[in-house]
Amino acid sequence: MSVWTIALNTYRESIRNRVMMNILLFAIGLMLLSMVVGEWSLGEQAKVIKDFGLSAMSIFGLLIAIFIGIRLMVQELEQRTIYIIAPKPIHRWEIVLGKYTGLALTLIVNVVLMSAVLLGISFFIEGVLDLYLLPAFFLIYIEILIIVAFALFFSSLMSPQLSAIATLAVYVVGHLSNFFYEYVQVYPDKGLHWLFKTLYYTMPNLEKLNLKMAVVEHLPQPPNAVGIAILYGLSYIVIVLLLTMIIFNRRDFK
Amino acid sequence: MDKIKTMWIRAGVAALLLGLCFTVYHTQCLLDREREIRFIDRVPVFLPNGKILKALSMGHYTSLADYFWLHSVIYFGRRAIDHDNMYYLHMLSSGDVKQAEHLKEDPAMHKETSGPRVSGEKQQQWVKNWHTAQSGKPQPPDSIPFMDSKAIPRIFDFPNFGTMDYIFPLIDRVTQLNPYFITPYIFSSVVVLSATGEIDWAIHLLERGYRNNAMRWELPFYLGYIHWIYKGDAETMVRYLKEAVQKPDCPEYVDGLLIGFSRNLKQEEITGLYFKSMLESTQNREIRERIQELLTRLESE
Amino acid sequence: MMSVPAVHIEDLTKIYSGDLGKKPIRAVEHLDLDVHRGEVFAFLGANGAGKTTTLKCMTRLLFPTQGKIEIFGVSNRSPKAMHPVGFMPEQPHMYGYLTGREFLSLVSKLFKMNRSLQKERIEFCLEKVGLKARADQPVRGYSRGMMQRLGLAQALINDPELLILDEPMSNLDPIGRKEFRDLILDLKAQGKTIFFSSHILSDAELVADRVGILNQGKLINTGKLEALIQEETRFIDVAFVLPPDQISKLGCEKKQTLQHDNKIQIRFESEEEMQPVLEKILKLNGHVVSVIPQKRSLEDIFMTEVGG
Repeated sequence: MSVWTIALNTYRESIRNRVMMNILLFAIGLMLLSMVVGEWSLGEQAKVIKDFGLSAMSIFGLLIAIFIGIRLMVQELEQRTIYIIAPKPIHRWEIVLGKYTGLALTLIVNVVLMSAVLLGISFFIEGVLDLYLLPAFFLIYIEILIIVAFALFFSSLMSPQLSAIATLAVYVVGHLSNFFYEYVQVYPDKGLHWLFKTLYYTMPNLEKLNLKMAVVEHLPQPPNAVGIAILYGLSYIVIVLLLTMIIFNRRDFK
Repeated sequence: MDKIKTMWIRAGVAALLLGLCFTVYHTQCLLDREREIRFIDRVPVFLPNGKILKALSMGHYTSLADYFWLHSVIYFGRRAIDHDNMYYLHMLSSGDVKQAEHLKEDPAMHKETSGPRVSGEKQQQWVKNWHTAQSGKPQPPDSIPFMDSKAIPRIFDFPNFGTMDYIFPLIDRVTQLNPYFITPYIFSSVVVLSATGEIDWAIHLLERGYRNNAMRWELPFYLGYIHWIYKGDAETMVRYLKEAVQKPDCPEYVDGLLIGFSRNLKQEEITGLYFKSMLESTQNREIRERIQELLTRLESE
Repeated sequence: MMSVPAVHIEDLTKIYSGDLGKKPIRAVEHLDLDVHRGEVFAFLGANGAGKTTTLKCMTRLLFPTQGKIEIFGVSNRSPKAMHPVGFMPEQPHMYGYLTGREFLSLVSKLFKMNRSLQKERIEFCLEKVGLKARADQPVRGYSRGMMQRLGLAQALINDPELLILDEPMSNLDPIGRKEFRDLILDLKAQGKTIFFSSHILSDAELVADRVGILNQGKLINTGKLEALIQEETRFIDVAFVLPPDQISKLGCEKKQTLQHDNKIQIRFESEEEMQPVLEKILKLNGHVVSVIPQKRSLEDIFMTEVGG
């Protein structure tokens, strides 16, 4: 119950700090783009809007995950509100989980609204509601949650600036995973193969959660692909959150 | 007294700000006139290959593909349609004064405050480059017996050969980033190929498209078209058409083409049928316009 | 059977590992302390003595390097120990985007209070600290004094048996400090235990039952206030009115004397010294204004213990 209390408070903070303004930016940007892109895309306006819309959702989510995810804990310490919260009869891990859940709530509202805007604009262009996009929306959300978990983890260990760099590095490495895998396949004994192999198996492979091309091009997917990707993403989230809770549990608030 | 002084100071600051804004705008216009390449025409000095672009895109390769697609279309449009390019200069230098005069009367050409100012030296260089490019221009194949000798130069005039060096590399990047994006394959094989004559590029792109979209009938269909029209290779055309009809959702007119060929229709009739099938195969306005143009040229000969 | 103390601290040691190349800091060393139920305990010490470190160890903000702490017999390693505790940190900060009422609601939910009790306690605490009129304004608009009041309100929200306050009166004006002292005494009358740290010795003197003096992480003195402040009177200041020509007849030329108009004040070292002079004043038709014995103050003790 304390988790839920802290989560709702974190959500309320996001609303009052106008984090949701990004949705407005997203909506306006996408509408302007759809007007401009029409002539230049040679009849592929709907596809271009969907591609850019999905990318923008992912990027907005990433920015929120990095900047707000890192501030979640850092702010508590900088503003000394942790001195009020931590002495209450709650476990430290409840604070971590509550903060994470609160941001997850904010992000789900964000993603749902952006998805609605994208579906609306593409319906306006195509005249058809493309529900094929739904799995991509969900996996974008999972991807963002993974980044938030890492942001929270790093911010409990290092300064906000280093945490931002480290979180961004996770995002970059996550999307280069396939490259590492191919390198190791092609050069099994050469150069940095040991590093790439380690990175491939320890860092989350965010490409596994990338369905943007598949949904826009209506490519057939194996029946369990989305389910397995979700399980993969959730497992990472749980591991990183557990590590964060362990660190936070023993942390001194000077 | 103080109030009047404050008022004057505020008015002075406002005037200064307005003046500075006007200066910024005016100097920007002056600088733009000195630029030799229009913004929209620019291509990257260094265009990394598709694999590197895909890695750099951080999972947003479909959006990057779309960006390059838009860039390709704009690039093609400016080079093919825009009067303000090397083609106009060629008109002048080749003596096609009538055409050049027609372009010259276009008010957009002579507005002092718009368009790039090109030095005489630069003009000379462009004309020289144009002539060099023309010497390497592909020639229509000899073995198209169904084609009237008058028809050949009309269909194979390749008006933009040598003026769009980057169009195929750009579309190549699009298809490397998103090999499932079908429209660039068709656009390059119909519209771009007929403008530039770069047959090998067109085949290379279509073959990539076919490898990645093995169940799409359009790709072997257009491969057959290129081999027929541009290489006169009937055997390869038939092979590709047979593959196309095996694909799901392949329309009946493709089968009709094969049937027509097996019934030994005249080759110009087959070509006409092919163009008509191509018209049916796409709803894309620009592609349809070009196919119609080619069909009209064929029918007029 | 002895009742369980409100706070039992045994061999508390807190060492902060130093930054690169620097020596570790021994903030608190081998601290043993018991705070009895129902008493007001003042924890005194100079800056950096280790008072805040001790309070933070008690309230689970810091983890002791060594030793144990029990709150009403329950080890504070478990969050359950904090149920009967209200804590107000030094210069409390609250979430700026919440109103005062919303903030108290958040805190009450962390104590898992039921809804009706939450409402009741929120209104009571707001009334108690004098913030009812500003309760629905965002905290970011509060003054420092109001923040302090809200900090106290959140410490009282769960009707705690033990109140731990870190420098509670540091941001209050004299009226605020008086109100605060009255509140502490009121809570004491209700049987609450109060443990607070302070620099303001006079406030501690006015409300504390027992004091502890901390110096460089070590508890150097602790005990009942009356026991620490000696009963022995050090001086007696006598103020009186006498015509100037009569003063010399008192025989107090060598005494420490203050004179203002007709009013004179003389300091005597004992009652025996003072008595004959008082009689002479009365004989000379003088008027005695006041007789004030001066005892040893807490400040004197503090300066002796801490100042060396």
